[in-house]
Parts: sequence; C-alpha cells; structure tokens
Amino acid sequence: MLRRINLFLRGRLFSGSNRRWWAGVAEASFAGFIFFLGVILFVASLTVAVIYGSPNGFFVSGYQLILQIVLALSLVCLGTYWIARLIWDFGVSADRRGALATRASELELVQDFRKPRTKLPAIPAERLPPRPGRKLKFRLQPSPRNVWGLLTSAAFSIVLTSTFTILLIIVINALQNRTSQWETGIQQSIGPSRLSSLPDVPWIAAVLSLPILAAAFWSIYLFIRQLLKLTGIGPTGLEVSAYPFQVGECYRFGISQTGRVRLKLLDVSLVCHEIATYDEGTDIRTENREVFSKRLFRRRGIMLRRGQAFYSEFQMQIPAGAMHSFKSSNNRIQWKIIVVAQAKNWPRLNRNFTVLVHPADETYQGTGNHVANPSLKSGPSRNSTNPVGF
Amino acid sequence: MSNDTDQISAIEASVIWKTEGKGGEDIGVHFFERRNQKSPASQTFQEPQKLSTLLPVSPLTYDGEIIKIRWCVRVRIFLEGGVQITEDCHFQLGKVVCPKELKRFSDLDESEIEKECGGVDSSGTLD
Repeated sequence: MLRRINLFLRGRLFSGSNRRWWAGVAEASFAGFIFFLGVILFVASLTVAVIYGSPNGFFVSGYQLILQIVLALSLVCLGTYWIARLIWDFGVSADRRGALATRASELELVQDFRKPRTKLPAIPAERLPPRPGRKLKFRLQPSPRNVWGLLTSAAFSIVLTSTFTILLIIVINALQNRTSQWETGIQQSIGPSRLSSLPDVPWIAAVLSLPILAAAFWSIYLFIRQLLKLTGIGPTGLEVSAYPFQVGECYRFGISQTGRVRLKLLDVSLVCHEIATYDEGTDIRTENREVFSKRLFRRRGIMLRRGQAFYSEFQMQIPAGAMHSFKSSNNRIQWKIIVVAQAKNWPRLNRNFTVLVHPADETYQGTGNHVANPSLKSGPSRNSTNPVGF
Repeated sequence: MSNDTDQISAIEASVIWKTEGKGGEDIGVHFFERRNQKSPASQTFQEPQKLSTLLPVSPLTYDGEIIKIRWCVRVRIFLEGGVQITEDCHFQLGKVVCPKELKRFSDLDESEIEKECGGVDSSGTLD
C-alpha cells in the first residue's frame, strides 16, 4: 500500500514497464472522474448558494463558498491538465523528437519533393509534408487527430451533468421542506395528508432529472471512449521508400506501432475516394465515394511493449492506369492509407495518411508529345447562340 | 464559317479541362487566345487556322463514378449582332482506367503483386 502511495506521489502509478491495458483505462477514467467531480461541485455550490439565499446558510457563508468554488475549479483544472497530458504523451512519438533534431536535412528533402508541383496543375499541395524516416527515406504524417469529438462530448457532459445537479438539488431541497412539514404535523398530531403537499414538490424537475441523468452517463461514457481512442494506443509511424507516389510504381513501406496493449488486429489499406461538392437547394452537400480499396498489410496478435515498437515492412504498388490525386473547387480525388488497430477492450483506432499520387513517369517524359492541334476548320455549330454584350 | 467573315467580330480559342458529374462544374483554362477583326491577322478568318500548345501532365482525362474530367478545345465565335457560337472539340489526355476496371486490381492475388514488386515482408521491433 505504502509503495502504491509512493508511486502515486511520483506520478508513476499508471506507468512502468509492467503496465497493463487496464492501467490506461483506469488513468483516463480517473482523469475524467476528477474533471466531472470538479464540474459537479462547482455547479452544486453555485446552485445551493442561489437556493439558500440566507447569509447564514452553510453554503453561502462568504469564505466557505469561495473555498468550495476554488476547490471545484482546482479539480476541473487538474482533470483538464491530466487529460491534456495523456493526449500529449501518447501523441508524440520518439520519431517526432528525432525528426526535430534533423530539421535541416528535412527542409532539403521537403524542398526537393515540392519542386515538381509547378508542372502538375490540379494536383493538390501537400498539407502535411513527410519527414525523414528512420529506416526508410520518408515518414508520412498522419492526418490531424479529430479532437472535436472529444470536445463535443466534454461540452455535452458538462451541460448535462450540471443540469442534473441543479435539478437534483431543487428536488432534494423540496423534499427536505416537505419532510420537515410532516415532522411538524406529526408532532402537532394534525399532520397534513401526504397528497395535500404534492403540489409543493417540483415533480417536473424530478421526472426530468432521470432522462437527463441517463443522458449525462451516456455522454460521460462517450467522453471516456473518445479519450481512450485518442490516448490508448500509441502513435503509428508509416515510412516509405519514395514520395510522392507515382501511378504504377512499387514502394516499400515500414509500419511501426507503439503502445502497451495486445493488438488483436493491425490492418493497413490503400483507398481512393472521389469527393464531390454540390448545391442542393440552399444546402451544400458533399458526396464521398470509395472507388478503390486494397489491403496492404494485416497482422493479428501483436504484443506491444513499452520501449519496443512493433515494426514490419511490406510493399505496395499504385495500380497501373489509376487516376492521380486531383483537386479543384468542387471535386477531389484523394488517395489515403488507412491504418486500423483493434485491441481487446479498446475502441477501434483509425489513422489516416493522405498521400499524393502523381501521374505515371512516362506522362512526365511525354510532356512535349501531347500537343493539342485541332484545326479551327469547324463543322456545323451545335451549341446554342447566346446574345451577349460585345 | 469563312463565308460569314464580315459578321465575325472576334474569335476565341481555348484549351480547357472541365469536370462533370455529381459535383459542381470546375473549369481549368490551359491555353487561351483571342483574335479581333481589327488585329493584324484579321485576314486569317478567311482560311483554316491551327493552334498549338504543349499540354500539361495533369489532370488526365478520367471517367470516374461521380467525377469525370474531360479536356476540350473550345472555339467561341463572336458575331457582329452580339451573338456567339461555341464549339467544343473533346480529346483524351493520358490513359486512365475507370474505377470498375481498377477494382480488378484489388482482387489480384498477393503473389502477383510480389512478382511485380519483389518480395519484402519482414517484421521485428524498433528500439
């Protein structure tokens, strides 16, 4: 017990080489618990202060109220800091730190692969340029993790938990008043019937509090799930032998995965999406259609240990004759490498690497051969004639 | 067309790509030339003309499921009365297979890809 307290004080209760999968769950859950405890205490203090308006009341006596609010805000800050630290710790890889050290060479590489862009109209710019790899030449950057889900579920949880706390305090306050009335009535032997005091009880608040409690639990569950999704399994590294890709070419890939869990499945796929944006009435809609999908790598039963990232190499060919990456105002053709990791008792993890695919090499070489040379000798006009101000 | 040269006030020729399909239409102009009746080359309206431009390597002609990219030479003739006549002459740039044909690649046996790429599959740990 003393050892555990000691470890906790050093901040190592949830770390160490023998950390199990449940340690991550416990740490994220505990951080979330601290955060919501602070929220509940804060809302409860303010609500009770409003209800018990008396200056002699326990909750509203000046210093005690300030103390409660400070305590509540401290818990909220502690929970927030803990969650942020969890996200940061699991989000930054050793690769990233190493890449920062070799920034000079990285800049050279980035400039090299950006050069050909000027010759490639309608091919999108690289939003996340690759960095130098450790084993292969380039390390691809994953698309930014979606923290909006976490923030949204956190906001919903705060609102629902606060609402439930307020309703609960209102109901408890009403019940306390009624109980004291009964006691007074019993003592005077002329107690009012229970039914006569029904209108005094805030039944609407009592009835509403149940679904709100259920919704609050559900939103907290979603929040913890999102948190685990972001922090549970360590960063995924994807290295390639050459970049950007060219249609029809073969590439060597290296995948590395850190974490402290046993992965049931690690899957890597190459997909191509057509994304079209169009107006429908006053709405702007986007349709996303997957037109190609190919599994590149699959491995089951991977044991991830602290300090030892799983690493494996495989190859991939961009299909000959495939369309290159394309981007215009309303239309996009996007290639992605999707990594799916599934661990026991853990939400499924999806990491996307948007990649650029350029046209085949022979197209580059043939630049001078494609010449539009139709004669202006035109056949019969088939388009409509439009009067214009000329 | 040459019979009506008196009425022609200008002629525009352009090489463009445009998108078709579900999304909003996008157009990229690769080459554009406009000739007025008053320009030194006005007599050229009386004989067939040629235009020549070096085409880029992208975007290639594509016949996708919800996005299609087509290239064309567009000639627009402006007549004196404010009327314009447009003619599109489509052509293909590059050779991209449609998604249906591409899906056959995804059904290829792993060994076939290994043949093309040379086998590499090793795993271990990264310190």
